[in-house]
Amino acid sequence: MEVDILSRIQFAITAGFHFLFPPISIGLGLFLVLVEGAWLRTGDEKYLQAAKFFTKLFVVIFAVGVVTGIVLEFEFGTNWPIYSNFVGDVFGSPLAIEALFAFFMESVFLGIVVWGWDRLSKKAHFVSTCFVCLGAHLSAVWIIAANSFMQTPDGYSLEYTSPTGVVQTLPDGAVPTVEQIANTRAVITDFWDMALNASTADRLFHTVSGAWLCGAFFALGICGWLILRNKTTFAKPCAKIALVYSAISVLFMMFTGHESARTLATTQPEKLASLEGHYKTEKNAPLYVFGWVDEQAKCVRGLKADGFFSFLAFGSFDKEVKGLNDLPSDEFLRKIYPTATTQELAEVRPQYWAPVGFCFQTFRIMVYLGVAIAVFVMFGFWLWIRNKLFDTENRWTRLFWKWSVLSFLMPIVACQVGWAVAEVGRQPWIVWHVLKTSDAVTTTATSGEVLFSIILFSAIFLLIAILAVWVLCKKIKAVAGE
Amino acid sequence: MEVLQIIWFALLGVLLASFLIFGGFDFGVGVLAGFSRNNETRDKAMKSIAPFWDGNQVWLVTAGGALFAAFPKAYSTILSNLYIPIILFLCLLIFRAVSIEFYLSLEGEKWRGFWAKICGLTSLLSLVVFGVALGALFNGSALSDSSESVALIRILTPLSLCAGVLTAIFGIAQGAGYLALKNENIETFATARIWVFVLAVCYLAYMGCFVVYGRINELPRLIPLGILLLSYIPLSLAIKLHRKAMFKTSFVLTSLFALLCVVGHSLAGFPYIVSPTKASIGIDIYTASSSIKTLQIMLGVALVGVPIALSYFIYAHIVFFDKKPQKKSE
Repeated sequence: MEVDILSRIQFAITAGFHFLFPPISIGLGLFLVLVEGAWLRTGDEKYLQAAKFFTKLFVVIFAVGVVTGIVLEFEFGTNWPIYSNFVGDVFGSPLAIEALFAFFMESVFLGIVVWGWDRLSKKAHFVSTCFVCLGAHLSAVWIIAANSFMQTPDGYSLEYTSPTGVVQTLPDGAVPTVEQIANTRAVITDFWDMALNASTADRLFHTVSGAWLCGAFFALGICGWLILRNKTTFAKPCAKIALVYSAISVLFMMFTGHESARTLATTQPEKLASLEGHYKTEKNAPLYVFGWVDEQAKCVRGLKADGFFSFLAFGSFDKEVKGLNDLPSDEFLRKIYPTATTQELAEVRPQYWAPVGFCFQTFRIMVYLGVAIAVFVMFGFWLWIRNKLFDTENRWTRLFWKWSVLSFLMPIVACQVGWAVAEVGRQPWIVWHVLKTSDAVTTTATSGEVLFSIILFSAIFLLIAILAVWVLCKKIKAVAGE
Repeated sequence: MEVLQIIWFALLGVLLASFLIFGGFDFGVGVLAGFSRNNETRDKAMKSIAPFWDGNQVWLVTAGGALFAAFPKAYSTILSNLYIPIILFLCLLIFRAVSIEFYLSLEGEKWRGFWAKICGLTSLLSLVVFGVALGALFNGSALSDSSESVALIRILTPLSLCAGVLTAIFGIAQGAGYLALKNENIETFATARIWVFVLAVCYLAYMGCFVVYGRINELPRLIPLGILLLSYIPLSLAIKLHRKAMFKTSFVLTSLFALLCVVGHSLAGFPYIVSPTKASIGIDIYTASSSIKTLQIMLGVALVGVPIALSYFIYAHIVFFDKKPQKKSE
């Protein structure tokens, strides 16, 4: 196998694996603040017991997140040196800021939180917990800012050093040629434009909402497991906190998801078109509830809702949604192929599409998981309103709590497929409309070496995950007195 | 143009020295705990680094991020050329981190004994590999234009091997010194004294190696050599102070040793991040750096961020400073 494919696989595996854990950390971090806050306000011992218990779980998850994350930090350099050199200014900076401001904060204060219960006043310890939560959220800010640069680059210009050593700035919106790439760099022209580019806010809020759901459901599920066994005094009050937290997160998730898609419509239209299998430019564009993308015939066969794509993307059924047949535009493609005819551009255009079938299906998986999440939360509230939330004799109640135990898998999987959508949908670009992924991959490591690292990391991560889950289960059983 | 790159070269040195000083002690304690034969000592040792090991590791993460942002060409060239060694180093770090967390998570002799051994082994190997990598950057063996050259073998030069041993012994000495000031008893005092002595001897040997295999790139020979020689002074002072049981001061002295070592080597290597050799032209700070604007922005970030980070560390150490035995609340 070629290094190109192997490096992509390795990044997908390492990033995907990493992203199983920080979302829970971020979400659970906020939950810890809520529970310890309740302890501070009510003085009720059971909240203290809950805070200490969930902190012990938090620490294990956090540790696995940290080690898988360190791999990623260096993976940019080991497997994507051309990319790293190209975007060091604009991508390396947010990463360094993430380490300096977010990682120090969350790591140092976590040590204080876990080991400082007897050494600090209630307030001081609570403030430390808040710092852990803040640090975790800050790390999301900067990594999303960096990733958003890959999607909607801004605040930069391209500096090309010619073979004779002359440095020139490429015109705005230029796409460097293959020969230019090794000697081209993206340099910052405006830091805040670069960091807070067109998609940073949407994607940050949506990712955080997903993380909140991961944490909330994780906590809810553990409380549910304890409730079904009628163990501990804290399970019920914490379950209520987790349920409210979940509800707010669901609303946040739906709103930010919609906003993110609407941003795609203007900033990355061919990505949005891939998500919907939308080939033909038209008004009243249909939304496919489910279906199959026929990439040869360039259409989707499935159940469609007429006009709803136009409505969701632009707010009105009459609005025209450009299809893949016209994206990327001729105007853009001429930057790469200045002398090509319209016919030739039409033939080359599909090379600039993401894998449509994959994007179409994974996007739907994410959305329908979101629907399932909403249904689950509504189920919980329905029980609560009818005062049956803790009536374990009632079979609906039991069903709800049984569902809750594994419920965290819904947002976890949704986050994974959501990222698959975001990153596969970005292809063939590694920096949107500037640098192609295939031009950015390493040339120094051999395919044998990359295969070795893929197998090694996969095996180690799997082993660690199994051990971590085992340790978590032991701790959960211990608090239940088993 | 040049000043900013020199400042960033110095800043990277600060981040590196910080990792050696802070991380040095918890890696060292990991080694001592892992190879310890007494369960109670081992337990105390692991608990003494429990609140700190994660934060200490962030210095390494920050150094990597700073290298990426300030000298992207260095970051990409070094990492892609040292593929397998970096991968192995990462695996060691992964296992070390989880070994500490797993050790602390559950009780039970078999469980803790196992993870302590993993911690000891991975801490020791990490220190050695890290030292070898630093040595390889310093003498330029990290890079090679030849595609025949295997990275893992290429970096095992006499100087880098000596550097690996020195880094490992420094870590252990630093860790032993930390344990002595945390858990004051005859055993920790003796261990600290022994290891600082071993470190001093090892450093003398390293200096010998440096005279033969080391190099000074552009600065006048006297400056870096002088500093490397001066580095020995804090060590000999530390040995004297150990006899007087002044462990806090000697911990500061061994940390100072690390800082001076980094300064000396940085001055010797200047202006190269990877020195040139017959096999490669190396990487210097001027061609490898990012744009002026980025360096300026990141300098501002560092001037704000590093002091803030240091303040967290100081706070954390104040919180955990006392003679009370630590207990993990149930």
